[in-house]
Amino acid sequence: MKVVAFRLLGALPILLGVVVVTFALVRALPGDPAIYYASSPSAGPDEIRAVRQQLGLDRGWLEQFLIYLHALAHGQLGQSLLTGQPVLEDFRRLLPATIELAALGFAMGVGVALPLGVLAAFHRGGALDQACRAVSSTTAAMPGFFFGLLLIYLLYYLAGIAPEPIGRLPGSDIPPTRVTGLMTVDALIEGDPGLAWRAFCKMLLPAASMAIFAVAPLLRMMRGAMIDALDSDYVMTARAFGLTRARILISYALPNAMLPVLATMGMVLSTMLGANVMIEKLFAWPGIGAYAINALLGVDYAPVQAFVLIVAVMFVILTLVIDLLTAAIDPRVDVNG
Amino acid sequence: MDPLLQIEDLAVRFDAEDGPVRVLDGLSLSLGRGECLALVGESGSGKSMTGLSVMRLLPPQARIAAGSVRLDGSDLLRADERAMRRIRGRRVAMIFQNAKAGLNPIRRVGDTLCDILIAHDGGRLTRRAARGRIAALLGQIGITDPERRLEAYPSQLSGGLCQRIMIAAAFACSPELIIADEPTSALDVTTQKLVMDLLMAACRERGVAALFITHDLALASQYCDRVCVMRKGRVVEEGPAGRLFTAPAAAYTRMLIDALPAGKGTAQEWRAAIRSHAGMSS
Repeated sequence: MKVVAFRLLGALPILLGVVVVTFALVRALPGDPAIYYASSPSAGPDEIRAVRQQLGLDRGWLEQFLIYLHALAHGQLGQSLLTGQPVLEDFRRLLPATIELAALGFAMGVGVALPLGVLAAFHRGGALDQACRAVSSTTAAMPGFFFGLLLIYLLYYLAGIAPEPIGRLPGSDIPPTRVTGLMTVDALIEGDPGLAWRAFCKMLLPAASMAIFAVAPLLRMMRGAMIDALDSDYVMTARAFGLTRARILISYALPNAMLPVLATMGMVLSTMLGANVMIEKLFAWPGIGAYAINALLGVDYAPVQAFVLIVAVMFVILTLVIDLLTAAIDPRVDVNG
Repeated sequence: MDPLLQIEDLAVRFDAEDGPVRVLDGLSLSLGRGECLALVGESGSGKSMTGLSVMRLLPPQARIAAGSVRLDGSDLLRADERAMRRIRGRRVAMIFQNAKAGLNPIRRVGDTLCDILIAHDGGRLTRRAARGRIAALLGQIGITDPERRLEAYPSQLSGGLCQRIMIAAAFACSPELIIADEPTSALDVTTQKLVMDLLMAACRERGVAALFITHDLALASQYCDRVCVMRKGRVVEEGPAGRLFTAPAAAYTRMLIDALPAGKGTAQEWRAAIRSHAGMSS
């Protein structure tokens, strides 16, 4: 626990850096919120000046930044001009949908990449290995949103087996009472497995589009790490002592091969958290990615800053979790290091 | 009675881009029960491949073209993979040069050793019982504080200790034959002597035959009854260790003796040289 606290403390400078850079970048963007949010296109200079003053944008950058930092220290992320809500409130509403989608996408990516990687390592140079190479090259070359479009075209438009690729639930459904915010879980809590299933089906296409990010790096890493493990001295020795294939795989080759894969998983998952922006936009998914891009286009500073900060915080937590997991598997790793 | 191990006309090829390479080329040797035979030769002469052929653990590009490897009369080259798994570790154990790398880095040494016992016990042995037997075995082989060693990970132990633990592992299932492939080449001279003494004493005490693979003719003659000199995948000369030094028949053996650092000499002179060498470094 001491280690965790220490590591989180060590992440503070990184987060401060993120805060500074986003603050500066957002303000360097073209567009003036005061003009954007004035009551009408015909608003006079006086009104615009009044709006600017109201938003606090008439102050110097440094002063604005200190005000922002002060609010952050008190757990406030500011007010969204687009929704008229506190950003924190919007995030509380939208973050579960993003997490639900990212988790399923990640699980799909891992579920495809790891078994394929292991099989490819076992049948090195064989037909399956070649097929895996083709899969990883294709998925590495294909942007997620394009794959999403392809899926929509094939499965929704042509085959008609996928639900319409818009939003979180089919239009005819009423969302379940909010408990966790994860719609599939809430539907189950409410005792409506049918609704949970429909909510789950809605996730499949966008999750598959996100999974495409994960497949190529994980597949390659898993294959390579597994080959290294199978060729290692300890696997050779285990074979020379007559251990069963199952035992060698479960206790020798796999745990060792998982170490580099685990590190890659952390990187892939954090990439996915950032890359969800396009996918959420494409599928009109009510998550923080789509929210952030709308805010960016609407010169709405506070949500954009908050989005980047939240992704950075999740990145820090993820890295810590991965490090702790690695240390739990590998006695040579010192978490304090 | 059949010898324990009889290899006849063994030919192994490596499939390479530009045609097959002959790794073993008509190798024949035999080893009696409880006998210690050294297999000596320079690198690339096929000594390790001989050991791996007996274990049927040759690399994938290797192909056995001809010959037979009989263990107690039955041909291992005709055994199926299931039967081979039961033989490995139980009837024939093999230890390798780099013991530290040969132990699973993320598994406690004790668990690795228990895996070996359990693999050959048909699922009857509990992990706790296996643990007890392993600890006793380590004690017998002269490893101090066995309980604590078994809790350790390989990275926390020295190379010499890892090799002694591998030797304990090799004796765990009371095999008939131990193949030791350069077991001490990665160790310093004093540890080398300690490990070799331990290995050979354990073999002789328990009547276990040993096939000792080394490039070190002096070490071979010091510890083994008989020496086979290998070159280019076949045995060029074999005989009692003492005779090989005093009256080598093959020109190649003569060359190997001349290449020893102390120059030309008899086995006796050699043993003296080794003793003083070991004394110097300790």
